[in-house]
Amino acid sequence: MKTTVQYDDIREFEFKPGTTLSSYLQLTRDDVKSYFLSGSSLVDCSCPACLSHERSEAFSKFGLNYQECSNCQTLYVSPRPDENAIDEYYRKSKAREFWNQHLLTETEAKRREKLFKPRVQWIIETVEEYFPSAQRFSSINSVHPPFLQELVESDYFKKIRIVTPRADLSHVNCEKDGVQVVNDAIGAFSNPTDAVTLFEVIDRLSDVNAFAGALDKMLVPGGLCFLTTISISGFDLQVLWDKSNSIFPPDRMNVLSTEGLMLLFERHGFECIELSTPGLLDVQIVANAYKENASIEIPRFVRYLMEQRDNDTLQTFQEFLQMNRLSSFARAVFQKK
Amino acid sequence: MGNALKAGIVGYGYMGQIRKTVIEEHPNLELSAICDANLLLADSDFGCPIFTDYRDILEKDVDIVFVCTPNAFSPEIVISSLNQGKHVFCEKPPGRSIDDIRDIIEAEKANTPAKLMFGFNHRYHPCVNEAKVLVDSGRYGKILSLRGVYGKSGGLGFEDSWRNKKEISGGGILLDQGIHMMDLFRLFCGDFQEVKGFVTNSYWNIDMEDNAFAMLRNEQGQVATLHSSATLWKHTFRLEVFMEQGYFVISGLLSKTGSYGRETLVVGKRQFEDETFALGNPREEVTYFDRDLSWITEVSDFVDCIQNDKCVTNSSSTDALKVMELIGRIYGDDPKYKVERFGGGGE
Ligand SMILES: [Zn+2]
Repeated sequence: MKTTVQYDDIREFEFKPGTTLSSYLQLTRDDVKSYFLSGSSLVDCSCPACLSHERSEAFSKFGLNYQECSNCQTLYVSPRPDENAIDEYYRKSKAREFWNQHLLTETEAKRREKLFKPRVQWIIETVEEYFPSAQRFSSINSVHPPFLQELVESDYFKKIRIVTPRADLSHVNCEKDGVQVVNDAIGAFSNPTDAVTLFEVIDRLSDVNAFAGALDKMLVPGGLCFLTTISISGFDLQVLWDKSNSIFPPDRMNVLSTEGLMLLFERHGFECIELSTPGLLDVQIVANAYKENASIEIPRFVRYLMEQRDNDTLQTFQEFLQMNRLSSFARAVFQKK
Repeated sequence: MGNALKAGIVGYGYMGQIRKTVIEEHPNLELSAICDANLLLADSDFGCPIFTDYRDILEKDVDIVFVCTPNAFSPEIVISSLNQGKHVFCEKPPGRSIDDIRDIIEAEKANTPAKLMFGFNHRYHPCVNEAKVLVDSGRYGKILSLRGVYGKSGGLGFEDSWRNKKEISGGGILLDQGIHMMDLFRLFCGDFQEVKGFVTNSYWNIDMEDNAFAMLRNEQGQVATLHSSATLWKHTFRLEVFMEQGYFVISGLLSKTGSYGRETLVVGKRQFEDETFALGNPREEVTYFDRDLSWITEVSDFVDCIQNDKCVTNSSSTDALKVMELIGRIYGDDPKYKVERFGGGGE
């Protein structure tokens, strides 16, 4: 198993312009109310990562309750909407429409260059090392047309499929690029696959365990699963906790710890090839939150760090977080045994 | 265990014990016998028959012999095992001299289809593996040069170790440890035609070198420099690969004690066309490795060669011969330090 550390200069606002993001959060709050809180039934669940029932109430966001698993420290919503309700939300909600129209397009060029180009390279290099014969590629719930374009242009995989897209793919010419769009639910998807990507997918699933089981069936032995997610093991999420703008339902219904992530995939017969937290923004996010609201509750040490130390120290601290898998942006590669 | 190959270990020191663990963990291997002249047979419970003479193992129903003895004894055991039709996995170095490996190769040729592989396990370390994949991808252009440092701190008992007795080991730190770095040079750049070397004994009271410095150049103009040392005072493994479009730094090694530091691969991309970045200080990506699978994967490779009748292409006898020739030329290039067994140059 390995972990990767990256030194880069991405700034938070480049990906999530502040005003646009707060509009998105407001819309999400309203949509959660109308989609999940009125009428539809919520179901209680155990920890999505380790299945433990031991937990304590963490906080509530947009009217839904977050629990902290006592075994693996994963943070998750329970009771929660079922998969159909979630699916409905992602197809029809105003928040989603806003996301597709504003957040994605406003930052598209930057995302493509800074996020998706390196991400495609990460996939290709890992495949070359661990499963060089891989040809059939699937992206699940892809919400990133620039990623798709980058992948198609790399011309690496013979067959590319997008399974149950939750994105507007209208400006991608799938036919011309030989990309197949499959609208089956993942459980019903039976075509064998060599490599699959889950970008921020497990964060918003209703039944993570069933999904991991379906994934196991879909991948051939030796097949690779590439995953990105936010992790509750990360610095800014631990420090800001309920005040974090990154934790909200349904986009972040499951916020797994790195330990929980390992437990989930190992339970389903996967071996971890890589687990990294190459996030660049933890310290900056906390610093910004503190700048906006100096009365925000943060540990004394962190406040001291923010008030007294310069950027070099903060940068070194961020690198320390990456080296020890303590940043809140996680990426992982699991291989099916 | 129906199709498992029966494995015997000759030499139960540091390496023999590592091999035992690997054999026991490997699904296609079954430990059948251990031999060591110094084993206290009565006191030990190894779960397999124990011998003090390797010839007894060769009489047994053993498919593979793991030769983990000091350099002076390995060639004879390897050759005898091959002559009995056994497959042989031999630790590095392949004896004390070029003549040793040449004799071994003769026995190998005379005993096909018996397979022979040497324990150049550094090839299988995850950081080396990953760097090799990146080099082979061609995305970084061609290799321009290599720079390798491999060294240890000596320490208590160092002067008394068999590794530092010339009649047993045949060479000092270069033959013991530097050989791995030389093997990696060959892994990345192939064969080298020009060799320059300084071989010194600068600190330890031993009758062989405690430092070796070498510069190698091949027909493609790629240059590799090596510092192999027993006076670094800090255990160090560092291989830098300079490419046309970037560089890799392989450093640290996963080991039992962790004394070489966290196994790390730094990837830097040449960036001087991009004015937004400071010149000469490119973005780097650093990967840390947590698990050393080198022992198990190298043996898996060998088992695969045996069970599927494939040629040994990694850590083969040719690799062993070529690296011994290079080492012989380094010794031979320093007029102040001629090691007799290497025949003063090996050319
Ligand atoms: Zn849990």
